[in-house]
Amino acid sequence: MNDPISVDNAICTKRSVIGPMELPEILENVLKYLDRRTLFSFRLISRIWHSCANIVLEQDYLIDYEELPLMLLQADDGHVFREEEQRAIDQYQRCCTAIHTLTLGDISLEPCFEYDKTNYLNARPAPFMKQLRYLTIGSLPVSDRRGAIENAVCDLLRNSPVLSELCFGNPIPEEFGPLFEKVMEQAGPQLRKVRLRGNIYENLGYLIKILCQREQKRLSTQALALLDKDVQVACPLEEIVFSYRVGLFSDLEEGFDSASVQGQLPIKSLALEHSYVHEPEFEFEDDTWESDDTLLKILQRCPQLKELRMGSEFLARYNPCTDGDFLNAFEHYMNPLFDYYNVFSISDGFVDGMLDACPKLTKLDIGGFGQFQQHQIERVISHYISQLESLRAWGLEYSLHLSSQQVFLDHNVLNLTELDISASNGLVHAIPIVLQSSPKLKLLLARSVRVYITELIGFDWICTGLEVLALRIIIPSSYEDTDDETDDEDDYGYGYDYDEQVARKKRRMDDKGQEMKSDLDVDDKESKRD
Amino acid sequence: MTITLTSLDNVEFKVDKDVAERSILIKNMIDDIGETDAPIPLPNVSSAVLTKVIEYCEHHRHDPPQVQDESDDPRKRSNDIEEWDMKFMQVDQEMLFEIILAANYLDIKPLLDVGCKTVANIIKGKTPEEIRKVFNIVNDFTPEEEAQIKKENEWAEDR
Repeated sequence: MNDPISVDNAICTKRSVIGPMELPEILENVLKYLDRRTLFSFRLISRIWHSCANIVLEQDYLIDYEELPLMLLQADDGHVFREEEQRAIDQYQRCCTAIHTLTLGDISLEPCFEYDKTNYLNARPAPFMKQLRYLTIGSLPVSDRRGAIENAVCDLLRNSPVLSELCFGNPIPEEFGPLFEKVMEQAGPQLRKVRLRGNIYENLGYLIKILCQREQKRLSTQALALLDKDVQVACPLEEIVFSYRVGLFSDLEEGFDSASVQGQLPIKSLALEHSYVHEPEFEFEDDTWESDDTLLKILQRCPQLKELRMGSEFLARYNPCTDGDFLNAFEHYMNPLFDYYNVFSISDGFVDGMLDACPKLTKLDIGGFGQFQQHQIERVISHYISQLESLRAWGLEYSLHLSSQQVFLDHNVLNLTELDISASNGLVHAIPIVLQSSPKLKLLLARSVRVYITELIGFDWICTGLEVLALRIIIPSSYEDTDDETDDEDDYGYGYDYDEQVARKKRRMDDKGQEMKSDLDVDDKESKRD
Repeated sequence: MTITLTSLDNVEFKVDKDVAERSILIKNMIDDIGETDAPIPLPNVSSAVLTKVIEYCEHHRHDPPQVQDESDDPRKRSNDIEEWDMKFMQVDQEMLFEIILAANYLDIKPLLDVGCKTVANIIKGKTPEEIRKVFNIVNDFTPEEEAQIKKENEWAEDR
C-alpha cells in the first residue's frame, strides 16, 4: 500500500492546540494495533504517548482487578452486565493467555480462577496461572472466609509452576501465619523471591518454620550430598528478600526469639531501623536500649547477609532531600541527648562481632547511625571497603575523617560504585582522594563536604564513570571579585552545592574529553539559579 | 426516510436514515427526539469531512453490526483493512485525522477503527524522533525521565 503520508511531506504546521495524536482517546485506539516492542519504544515520544502506551501494554499483560470477581459472581443469577462491565470481562478473558504479572487488590483472589457459570464454587485456576511469574497479593482479608482463602491461595500456587516472585503487599495479619505456612509449602522450587512486609513478630516465625520444612523436604529427596556444603545453600528460598523496619531495637530481640527456632536465617537483605529515638519529641525510656547485644545476636544469625542497613528511620526519610548541614546540625543536637540519657553505645565488642558475623556484606548503609564512634566507623569501613559495592555513611561526623580517607588510599576500592558521605566532616582533600581511589564510582553524594574547586581540576578523567555527583564546592575567596562588605564566616570562601543534576547533565553531554572548565561553568550557573 | 445533517460551515446534507444511523451519536439523537424533519446540527464536522464520512457510511450501509473480535491474540491486527476502505483512507494527513476525530465524535466505531489502523500502519517502524517530526509533537520529558524510560525498555526486552 502506498503511504498517504510520508515523513518528508508531512504537514508540520506549528499549532498551539494539541494535535489528534496527542488526544488520549485517539492515541490509545491507534496504539492498540502496535506490537509490544514498538509500544515500548514509542513511550519515549512524549508524556502523553508514554501514558497511553502504558495503558495499552498493561491491558494485555497486567491485570489489577478488584471489581472483576464481583462481576463474575453476578453472572450466575442472570445478571445483565452494564456495557463497561462487559468490556472489562471481555478484555480480561481476551488477555488471560498473556498475563504474567498479576496484582490483586484488597479482597480478591477470584480473578485467578475460572468459574462454572452455574456454580461458582466450582472453580478452576485460570489458564494464565500456568505462565504467571509475578504475583502480588494485596491484603488478605480477615474474615470468616479464611478457610476458603487458604484453599484458594494454595490452589493458586499449586497451579503456578513458574511463579518466581510472590509479594504480599500489606502486612500479613498474625492469624494468617498458618495460611502463610501452608501457602509456602505449595510453592514450587522456582519461587525465588518472597517479599513480606510488616513487623518482625508477625512474619519471622513462619519464615523459619517454612525454611526448616523446605530444607527437610529437599534433604530427603536429594540425599546427603548437600549436607557437606553450606546448609543454607540447600534451601530453595535462599534468595528471599526480607527487609524489616522495627520500632525499637528492644523489640527486635522479642521478635527474633518469638521465632522459637534458633539457628541461621538465609536472609540476604536486612534493615534494622529504629523509628523513634531520633525524633526530638521522643521521651527516652529507661529500658529502651540496654545493650547492643540484641543487634549482634541478630547479625550472627544472618551469615548470608549481603545488604545491611542500620540506623534511624527518621533520618533516612530525610536524607535524600536534605542537605548535609541539616544532618550535621541534627547530630550535634542529638548526641548530647544520647549522652545524657546514656541511651545507647556501640561497644568495640559489637564491632568485632559484626565483622565476624557478616563476612559477605556488599552493601552497607549506616547512615544516621550516630552511635558509632570514630574509630569504630573506621574499622568497619576499612574492613569492608574492598568488597563493598555501596557504602552509605551519611550524617556521620567521622565517616570521612583523616584516617578514614587513609582507608581509601590503603585499600583496593575497586568494587565501590555508590558512596554517600553527606554531612561528613571530611577534610577538604577528601573528595579528590575518594575519586582517585574508586574508579568504578557511579554515585557520589557528599552534600556539605567541602572541596576546593581547584582541587577538582585535573580529576575530570577520573570522573568519567560518575553519573550522580553532589558536592559542596568552595571557590577560594581570592577567585571572587564580590563586595567585601561583610566577612563570610566561612573561611574557605563561598560554598556552592554542586547539584547532582549537573553531573547527570554532564553525563548526557558525554563528550569524553570534556574539560573540567566547562563543568564549572555549568556548575556556576546552576548554583546561581538556586 | 431521509435525515438532514448540517455541517460546521452550514452545508446541509440529506442522507437516508439507515446511512445516518451508522453513527451511534445520530442514532441516539433520533431515538431520543423521534423522527423529525429538523436538520441535525453537527458543529464539530466540516462539510469536506462530512462528505467523506457519508461516503463511508453509504458504502457500509448494509454491514452487519460489528461483533467483538475474539481472536486469541491479545494484540489487534492492523493489516486486515478491506480494499475499499484502504483506498478510502488514502487522503492527506490532515483529512485522515479529521475523519478520525469525526468518527470519534459521531461514534462510528468501524470508521474509527479503520482510521486508527491506517495511522498505526503509517507509524509502524518509525523511530520516536520521526514520529515527533511527523505529528509535530514536543518531547516534554526531562533527560532523567527519558533515561529512566530507556532503562525500563531495556529491562522489558528480556521479559
